[in-house]
Amino acid sequence: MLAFIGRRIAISFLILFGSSFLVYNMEAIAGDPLAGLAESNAENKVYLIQRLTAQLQLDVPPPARYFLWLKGIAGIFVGNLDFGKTRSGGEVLDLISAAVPITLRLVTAATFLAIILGVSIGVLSAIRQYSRLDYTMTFISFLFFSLPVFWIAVLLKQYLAIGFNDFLADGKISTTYLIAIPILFGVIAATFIGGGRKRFWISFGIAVSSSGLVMQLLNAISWFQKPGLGIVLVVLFSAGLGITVAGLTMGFDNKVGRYAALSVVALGAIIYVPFNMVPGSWLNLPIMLGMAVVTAFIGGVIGRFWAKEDRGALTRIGAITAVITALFTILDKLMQIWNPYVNSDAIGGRPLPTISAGNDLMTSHNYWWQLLDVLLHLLLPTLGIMLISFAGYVRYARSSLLEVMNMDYIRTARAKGLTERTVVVRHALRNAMIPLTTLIAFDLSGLIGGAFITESIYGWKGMGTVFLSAVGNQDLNLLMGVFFLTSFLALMGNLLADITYSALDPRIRMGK
Amino acid sequence: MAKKDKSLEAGAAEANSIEMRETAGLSQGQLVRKRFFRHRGAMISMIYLVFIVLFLFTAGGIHLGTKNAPFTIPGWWHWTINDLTEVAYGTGDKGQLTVGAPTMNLNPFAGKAFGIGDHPFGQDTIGHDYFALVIRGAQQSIMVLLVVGFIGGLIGTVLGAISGFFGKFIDAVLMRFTDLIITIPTVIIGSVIGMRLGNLGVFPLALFLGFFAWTGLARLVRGDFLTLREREFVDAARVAGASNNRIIFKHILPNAMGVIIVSITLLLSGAILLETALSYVGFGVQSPDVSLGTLISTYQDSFQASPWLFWWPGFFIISIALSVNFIGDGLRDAFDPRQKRKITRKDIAAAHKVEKAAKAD
Amino acid sequence: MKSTLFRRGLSLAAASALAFTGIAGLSSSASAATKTTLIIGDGLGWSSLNTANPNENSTINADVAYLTGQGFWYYDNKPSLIPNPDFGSYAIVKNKPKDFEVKYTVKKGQTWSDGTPIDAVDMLLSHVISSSKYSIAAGLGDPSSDAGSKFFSGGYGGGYDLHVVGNPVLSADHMSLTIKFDQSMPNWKVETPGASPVHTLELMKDGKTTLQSASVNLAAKAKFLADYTNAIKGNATAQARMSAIGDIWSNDYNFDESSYDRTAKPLIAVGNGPYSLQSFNYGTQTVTLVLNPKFNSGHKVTAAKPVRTIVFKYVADGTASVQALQNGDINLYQGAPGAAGYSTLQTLKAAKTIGLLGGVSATYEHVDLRTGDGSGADVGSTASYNGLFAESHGQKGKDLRLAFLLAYPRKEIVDTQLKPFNPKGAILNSNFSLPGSSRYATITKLNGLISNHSVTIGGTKYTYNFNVTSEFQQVQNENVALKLVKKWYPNAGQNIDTAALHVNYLRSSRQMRVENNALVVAHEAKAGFTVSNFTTAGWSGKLSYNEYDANEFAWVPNSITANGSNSNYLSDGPNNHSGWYDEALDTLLHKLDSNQKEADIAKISGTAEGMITAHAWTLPIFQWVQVTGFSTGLYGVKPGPISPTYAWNYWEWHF
Repeated sequence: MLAFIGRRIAISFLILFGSSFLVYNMEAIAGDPLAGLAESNAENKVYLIQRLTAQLQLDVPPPARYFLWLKGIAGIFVGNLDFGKTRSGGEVLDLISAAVPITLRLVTAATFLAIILGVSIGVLSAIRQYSRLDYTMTFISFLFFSLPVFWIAVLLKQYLAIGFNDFLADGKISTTYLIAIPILFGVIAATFIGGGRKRFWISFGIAVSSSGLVMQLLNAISWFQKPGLGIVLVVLFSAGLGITVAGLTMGFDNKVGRYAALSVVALGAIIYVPFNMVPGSWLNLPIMLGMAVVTAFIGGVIGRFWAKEDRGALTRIGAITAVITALFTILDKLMQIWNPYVNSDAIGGRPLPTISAGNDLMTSHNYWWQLLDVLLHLLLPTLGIMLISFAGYVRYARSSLLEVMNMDYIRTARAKGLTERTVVVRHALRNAMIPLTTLIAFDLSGLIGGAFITESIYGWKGMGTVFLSAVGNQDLNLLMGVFFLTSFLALMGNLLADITYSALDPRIRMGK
Repeated sequence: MAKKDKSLEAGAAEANSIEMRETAGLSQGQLVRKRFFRHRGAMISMIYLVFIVLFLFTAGGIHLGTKNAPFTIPGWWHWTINDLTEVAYGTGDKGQLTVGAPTMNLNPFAGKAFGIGDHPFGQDTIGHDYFALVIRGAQQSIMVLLVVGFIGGLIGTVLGAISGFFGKFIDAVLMRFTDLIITIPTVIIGSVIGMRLGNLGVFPLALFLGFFAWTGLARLVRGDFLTLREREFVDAARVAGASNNRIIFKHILPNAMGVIIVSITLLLSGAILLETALSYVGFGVQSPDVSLGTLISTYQDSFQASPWLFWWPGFFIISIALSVNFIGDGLRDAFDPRQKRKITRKDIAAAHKVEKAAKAD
Repeated sequence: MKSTLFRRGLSLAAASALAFTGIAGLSSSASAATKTTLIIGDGLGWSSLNTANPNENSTINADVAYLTGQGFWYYDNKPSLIPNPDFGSYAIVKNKPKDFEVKYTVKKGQTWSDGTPIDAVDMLLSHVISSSKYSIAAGLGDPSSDAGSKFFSGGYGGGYDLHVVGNPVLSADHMSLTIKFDQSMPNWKVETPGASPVHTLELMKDGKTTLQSASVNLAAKAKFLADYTNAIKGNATAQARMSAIGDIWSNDYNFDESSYDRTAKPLIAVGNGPYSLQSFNYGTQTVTLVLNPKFNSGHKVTAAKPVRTIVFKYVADGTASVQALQNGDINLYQGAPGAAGYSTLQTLKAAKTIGLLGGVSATYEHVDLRTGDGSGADVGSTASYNGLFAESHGQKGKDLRLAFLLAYPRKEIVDTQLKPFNPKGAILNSNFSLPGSSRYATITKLNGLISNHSVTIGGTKYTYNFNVTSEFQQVQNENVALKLVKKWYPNAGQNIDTAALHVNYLRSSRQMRVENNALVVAHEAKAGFTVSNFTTAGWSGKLSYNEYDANEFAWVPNSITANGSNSNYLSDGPNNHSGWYDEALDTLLHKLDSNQKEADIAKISGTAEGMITAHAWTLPIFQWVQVTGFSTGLYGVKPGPISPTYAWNYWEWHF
């Protein structure tokens, strides 16, 4: 195993050598780094051209220049890695390390949400093969799959951001939306609940009327201008989701699971008040992450406390419910600062941005302001990326689960008299996830270089934008730096996919 | 609960028997065709795609060859992408100035002239007929689809098949070569083609994309060949003295056809989006030629003033990619022998009728 | 199972409805704050406070530099050069052909943003970064060598460097600097030294990061003067210190890959502009400037509702700016959107969402015809140019050039490319000067581009005028052009593809120019020319290639100088890519290389351009469009064509 991995890594470097040589030379002949200076009528143009030629070593022919670059990279073996300098004289490595976190911030949430949503809808779609839900989801996922990201971005900006901001100016929902949104909501709810024609219309009716009522209420109290959940709704929502989680893992008839979830929510309700009194200035990202871990741990302990059997499941229920409760509490907190945030000088009443990764002015405010600001700036790009990659996961999860559901051992499990939930969750799902894991491993490795269009549309200066501008400006060292990192990660992702596949599926042996 | 399950089982058994009866006495090819024709989404998409291809290439004509040695068959549409027409200025419904508004009006009660008019999709701001531009762009997409599908499909299938069938050293070498191709970013390819070769049209771009787009396909085909070559029927053929060629082409390839075709359709829809994306960021098709990607990138900020400049290219990208995806889905269902189809009440009723008729006989 | 789910859902909905009524009064309400922050969209990404670094010479960097540091003058929106008496004054002391001296005096009482007084010592750095002789003498390295100078500056190699004599002389009161040149300097009003807070460089050299007391600052300034003086005397310690300062100057002001926060490194932000740099956030790509309370080097911000904070926000994708402006993500945007984008902006203007100003930039388009082997970059082939327009063909070459320029569809291009953006958009009638500048009127009177000409072909006299104002005139010009061509190719223009009349056309890769191609082909065909190729790939390296008969590209002037066009038209000028050669013109143009009266500059330029027009070498086409959109509620925006474009009148901005 280790020998195999070692060999593959060694080969990866050979591959990188080959492809970097190709890319370097292709790009060197593709454009002209001096183009910008040609239009200049500066008095000392000759000097400037000479300066740039010396700086970029343009007098060295590209194949030889490649080896000059490679010399710096080869420094990796003696602990002296040198990616060279960018056109503007900075270190390529510095620029990349500044850009990577920005890209990660952009794509991480989108990817995880896409995986979670895509896989769950794919699974649901497979379980209810040929149902209304299945057909709808098939169509929707194909539609999203066919959407160009730059096209949908314009629509999101126009209708979601600008539309919402315009709406917020007076805060009253127009009659069209008061009718359209409940109907849409009704269709979605009825499609998910499923069943025959009669049930469809009943669910539709209930969903339309209840959501219509809620909309009217929100409208009446100008909720969108001064939103909030309050402790009552935090508890109600958390409890609802907690019970659902318990139901899915242990069955909806299982009381212990429900009690475990509810007790965690109860603890959350007690913590709600003191949590809201914590000054925002005490908080930052590491503390929040630490608190998330502690929350999950405490939830797990409470879940375990209920356990007579099925310890693992109850711990999981407790932990998940705890995190859900915490998220609702945070959401409530963010809603409380919504109004002052929206009306601040920098925001000017238009909170949903169409560009940029954040407002710098927010650094003067506390953690909650910054969090809200970052989340709002993430909204549009995240939606765009999510819609499109989510479609792929739906398709893969669906076909993978369908394949497994046709297997003999599933028939055996059913024949044993296990409930459908147990068959799906315990037997089918796990095996269906194997090919998906390799897909995910591969996708994750492509995260860093993958979102260049989204980045450029929303003005994020992450790896994609850096790469595009490096290609456009003929900034070879920079381009090669980005290329080197992304292709190394792609190769490693490839390797990781192979390894996880063989680790999860004992039938496949490695190195064969 | 128990009662329900029983009836379900009975239903499933009935469905099974219906399906068995339907497939009795049919060859693999007939079966696939039959299943495919039954996939409504795929059929609609197929018809749509054929229609759109005919429409595009008759309307816009065929333009091949290089700039100095062009090969052109004019289409029936009276404007080309190079024609400059008088820009029509008008007034929009909010009283604002509109530039080159579409003349198409399919609503007989709108009080305007009914019909498609001279510029059904409107004009761009300097007077190009937008219908001609969009048609040209969509032709480019179809071109990419064909070329990438052929080149990528061929390379991917052949390399994947060889790699999976022969295994060992050949496999290792070919798979690492695949890795090498995976690492080369498509933006680089686009920038080299676009910036160095200039305006040679979409063909060289599609060709190069094809040379670099086969990696996913090759990996899938390889995986399929790896499992298939261990199957009993391959052993049987080998024992019977079949050559490698015969085993590959007569025995394994027909069985792998499902995987291959489905992955090629994925490759196709991916290629359309890839070309538009490259053109959008300026590394694909270069002006004065147009592609749906360049049209969107040029006119996306016209969204408010001249929305038609934004919607039409998007419509063609999405509808072409969507129908290719649906065809792929139909083919996947058709090729998968384990795939069950939905047995509707109508089918069951029909089956009963047949049964009764048989009994009566 | 499902019915229980139903019931649960129903009770949940009811409970929520109850809960909502309870939360109505939860949030505190805040009233909208007074607007004091101006957010400007920027398409490049700010990267440095040091625009003298040749790698950091972008428009956004120049805008920030202007707002954070003032000097002797600025360009207004005409554009004309406006002196800034609040900063200082300058005058010629000696004005002889071979002995020329200018005295630059800094106004007393000004301070840097850290309170240190500004004096002429602060201007010495200008000399350091522009004089190769100083750099070599002070052991900082030869700027023209591959290693370059310790000060990585774009200031070397220009007129100042070539002609400055010795070192500037500091007056006894340290308030003025006298600089001596070996010839009369044509651009002495533009190429002035600037002030830099040299004491902060010294402090940073000594490892200080925080603001220092007044006395320490003054001591540091004295230290700089000592280092500066001793370095050229060969003092090794001083040279080492100057080298270290060079490193700081070249690197520490650049933020290509890092953030900046004034609280951590206050010395970097010391300046004499109306605003000072507060922070740069690399992650969000926003630059924040705040009002500088100690500012007294120029127009003060005195509006009742002033712009207290300026934020530059990065908008990578040019077209995203329109939606960003509509959404209020940015309050000010300047760019060249496509015609479609412009019509959207107009729609927004009509809806009173934004204000909109159409305008032009200094960048202008022109077409050049090759007459011989060009200088400048490497030449494509070794054979001499012998194509259609070659000077070696004598009258034939000249006739064909004139014909090509006459048929060139300038009006059509302006009508379709420019008018949609700017109703006042017009044909540009000079390569030497831009409309709005004081010289334009005189030059166009003399340069032959708006006057009637006549030519006799086969005994008939035809008149033509380059300045086409009507379609009829264009047709008339095209007729003359065809007659001129037929003189040499009688079959021309009869739908016969005369191989000899192929024009190989090179143009730069700017997107908007693409739409011109069709127009050029159509109209040149009427004169019998077959224009082809429109090569864009690697165009900048091919400007001197003999295979191209015509080059179309833009000049990007960033200042108004007397002799700025000389490098384009002198026989040995580095920008003379098309092999133009005329000794009489050279003599005339060289007059501009020495200091002349403003009126004489215009006269000489006009006469010179008249000679160029007679040669039919080149034709200016139009100035590039530059559109400025801004949020309603922002007042006082008056963009100009030359950097710092929209920022020049910051004191007039208010909400």
